[in-house]
Amino acid sequence: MTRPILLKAEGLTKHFGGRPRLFGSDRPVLRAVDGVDLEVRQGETLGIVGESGCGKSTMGRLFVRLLDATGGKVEFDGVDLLSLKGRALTAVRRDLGMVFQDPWASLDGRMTVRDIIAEPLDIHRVAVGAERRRRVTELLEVVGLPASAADKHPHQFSGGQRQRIGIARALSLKPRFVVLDEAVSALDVSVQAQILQLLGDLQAEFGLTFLFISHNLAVVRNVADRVAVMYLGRIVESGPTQALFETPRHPYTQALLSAIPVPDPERPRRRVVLKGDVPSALAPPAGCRFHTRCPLAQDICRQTPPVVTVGADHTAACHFAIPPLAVS
Amino acid sequence: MAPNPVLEIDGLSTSVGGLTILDGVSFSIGDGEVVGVVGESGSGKSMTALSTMRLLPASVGVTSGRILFEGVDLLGRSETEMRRIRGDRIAMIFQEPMSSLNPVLTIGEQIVETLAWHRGMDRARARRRAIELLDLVEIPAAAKRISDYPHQLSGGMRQRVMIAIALACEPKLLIADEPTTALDVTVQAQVLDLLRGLRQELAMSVMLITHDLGVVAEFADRVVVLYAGRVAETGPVKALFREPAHPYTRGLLASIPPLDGPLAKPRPIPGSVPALVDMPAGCRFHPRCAIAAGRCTATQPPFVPLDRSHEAACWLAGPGGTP
Repeated sequence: MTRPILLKAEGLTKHFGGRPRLFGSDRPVLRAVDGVDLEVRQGETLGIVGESGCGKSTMGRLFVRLLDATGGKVEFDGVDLLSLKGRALTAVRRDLGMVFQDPWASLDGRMTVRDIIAEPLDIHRVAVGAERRRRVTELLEVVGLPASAADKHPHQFSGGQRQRIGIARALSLKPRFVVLDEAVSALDVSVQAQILQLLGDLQAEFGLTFLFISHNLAVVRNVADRVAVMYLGRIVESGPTQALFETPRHPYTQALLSAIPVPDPERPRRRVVLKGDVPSALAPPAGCRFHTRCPLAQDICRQTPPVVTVGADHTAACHFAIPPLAVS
Repeated sequence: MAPNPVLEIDGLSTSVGGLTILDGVSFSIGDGEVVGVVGESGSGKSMTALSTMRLLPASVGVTSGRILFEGVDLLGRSETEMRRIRGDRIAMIFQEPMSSLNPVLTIGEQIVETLAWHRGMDRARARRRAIELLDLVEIPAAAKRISDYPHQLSGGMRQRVMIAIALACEPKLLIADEPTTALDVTVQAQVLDLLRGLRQELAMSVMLITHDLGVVAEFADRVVVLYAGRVAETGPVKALFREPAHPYTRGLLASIPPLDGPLAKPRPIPGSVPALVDMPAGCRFHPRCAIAAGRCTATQPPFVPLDRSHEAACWLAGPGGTP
């Protein structure tokens, strides 16, 4: 029952800076995304989790061509996404949508909601006049807002309503693949669940494929079919949601899961408290990037770990992902 | 009411431009107790903290109520007296350590400044004490780090420095306003562990302001749930999480997706927090409440006592509740 692959990344890399100067020393290279292999399947929600600076947002932007990669390959529906230019790129952009974190910052306050939602339609010249009006009304309805919202400005709406407007805009060109970058993180928890419900309904109705980027693991557990965990520009573990949450195999995933405060004061918890902070992406540790904070690290961890299959569709990049066989 | 309250907020109301923000907020914090004040944006939790510190913006006025700290009303203190209390008997840490630290002073100078001002320590002694404090908040190589500027530290380290400054004068009450919200989850765990240990070591009372019920569950002894400027429910942390009595508390808990156990779809609370200009009559939660009826729409509910110091402001709470 494996779904067909919609998007496939191989060795995807995005380095910032680093172009040699004519005089003086080279600029430091920030390795935001550093060799990511990833598959996103048709109609699924793939959750991307990790802490700030792990490269998850940069990766999302590479997939919708908001940023250009410095290396690697991305195939979208069989097309080489990264080499597209001009008209071919414009055409494929219609298939790619994006919803941003902050509904206060991502909507232009001087525009009406109608113009915000219709802007992609205008740019791609797909609807004018009455058809444009009809599409805006339809999109508002789809995201649960009244048609009267079209003539208002973003400041007249609450955070949750604004995020609905952002979603309507992302869907205006009927994309097939939508990157949701911390799409509910700025919202109050009681409103967060409303937007998650809406996203689930929209996915079912339009057969959308979601890349759901979030630092909130509980939310991801709830919406994702599969999850990939990122640390310092690399994917350290990926697998079906249930397997990843119940039997995490990478020590970083284990630490991340154990660190989350749970709203139940009566549950005793075993916590893996990591030492120190995430190292800088300007100078990531050699080998396994997690080895400087890993409670299990050994000398071998200074070498790049293999990606090990630890279960059905479940892989971890760790020298110790497979526990040594017990000697009987 | 907490035994031997260190802080007692009694009927606190504030307003801005004639609009009521806090509306009769009352709760107390006992000696050595951690009280979590939770609520969504606009609930008034930060305003409660700022009122206690007497740091409200000029546009906001306290219209009624008392804030008793060790038995004396802070609202009656002069600005000069408050300046002696702040940072000494009551200290505060904020969400974003980078904007609360002075970028042009080393972290050592900022701790020394506090000790010199409140304790009249000479620089050499204050510096030795500063190193002790950085040690206390587990900053490695404190004697070296003391000469660092804030920008040279990571977010987690900066929050540790903020905590060190706050603890410099061994305050009786620490107000922590979203102390870990800006931190990554693995760093948040470190800072929470640190705060837990320090609170025990120093026998401080803590007002913990947060939107994160997980943080409250792990750190607080008692909880105050605020909604739209009023206390909705208050109680010991275990009782409140086990048997939430106010429909808002129940809704809040149900809207959090679980991290493990059976996969239950989070159930949102319909609608959103009311705007200041548009506060509903009666119970302020009634337009979003699934069980609101009758009196809920017209009359403000009283506090219904449920169990040991557990009470909820709801007409339907408790065994005899009727709308």
